[in-house]
Amino acid sequence: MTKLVRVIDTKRCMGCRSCLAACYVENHLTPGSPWNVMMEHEVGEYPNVGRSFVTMNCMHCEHPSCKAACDAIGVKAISKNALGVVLIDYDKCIGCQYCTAACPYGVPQYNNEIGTLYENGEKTPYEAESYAKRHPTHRKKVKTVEKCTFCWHKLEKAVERGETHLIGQVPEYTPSCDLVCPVQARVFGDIDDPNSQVAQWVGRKQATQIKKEFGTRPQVYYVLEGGDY
Amino acid sequence: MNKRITCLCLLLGLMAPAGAVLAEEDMDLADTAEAIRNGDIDVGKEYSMHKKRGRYHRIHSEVLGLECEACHVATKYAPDYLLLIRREEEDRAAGHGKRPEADVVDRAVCLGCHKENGVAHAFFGTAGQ
Repeated sequence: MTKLVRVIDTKRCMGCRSCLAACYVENHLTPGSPWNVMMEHEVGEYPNVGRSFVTMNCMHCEHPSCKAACDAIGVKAISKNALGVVLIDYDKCIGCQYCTAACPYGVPQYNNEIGTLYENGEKTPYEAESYAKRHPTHRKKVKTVEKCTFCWHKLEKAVERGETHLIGQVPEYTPSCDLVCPVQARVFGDIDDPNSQVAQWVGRKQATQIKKEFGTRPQVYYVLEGGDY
Repeated sequence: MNKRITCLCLLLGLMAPAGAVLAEEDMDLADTAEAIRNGDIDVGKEYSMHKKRGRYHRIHSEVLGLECEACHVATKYAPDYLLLIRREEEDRAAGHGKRPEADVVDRAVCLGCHKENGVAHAFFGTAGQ
């Protein structure tokens, strides 16, 4: 059984935002509804001060509250597949935002407008790419909700080729944010494989899930100051 | 020793009615939640979160009677806010006045009712989903 997880070491992260940039390029960023964000906190008291950085994307929970809320009103636009990836079907989404209200991590992003990164309102060549050429997860729609997909368009290829054992080990089958970190603060892979880096980090570095009290069992783990709680 | 036991019994006796009231309130909430799910209480089919009289807000503020500040923890509302809300909306529709935007809802508040085996639909801690 493959269970994909991400482990983020906040003690190594230096807040460079390479992971954010990689995500925005890889997943056709819609300004105003980013799939990956960086949270910064000042810690300590002068003169012993510092900054801590936590990068947040979808937790792909084992029991996703977003899906529960969506299912409760019969929309059923959110699914969780065999690899544990939580996806939103833009064609089914009615834009009610119940999922945004239910998610304890503030992950689902409401797409209010498909804007552009150019100030003059023109589309960049990248933004102008036709929807026909894009993966379904990148065919974004106004007035729907979107979020991180664990780069499903890449993982899907591994599934099609029967190479799921290579997920997290070769760049082609690894989410882009996890590839670009210059300080190796994040890893991705199968936690059910005891030899995988994620399994070793969770055990050795005492990585933990955040907001455990909600019982959603996130598949993104964090190495925090002070270890598990 | 006997005195202590007597005091303890007396205290427990006093606390029992309070517990019974709480359980009754929970029962009322559960009944209301069930009535909403069954369609016995009409909360409309306007699912948008942007509509203040949409289904979401009607369930929580009008039917269940939650104070606005219970969820919008960082915003101050006048005590008669809910009573005046309809007239305000009429005023706003006529182009007068503007209500301040609400802050982000604290999800920890939702957990009380929406946890597994809670009175409302379970969104959190739903093992076996």
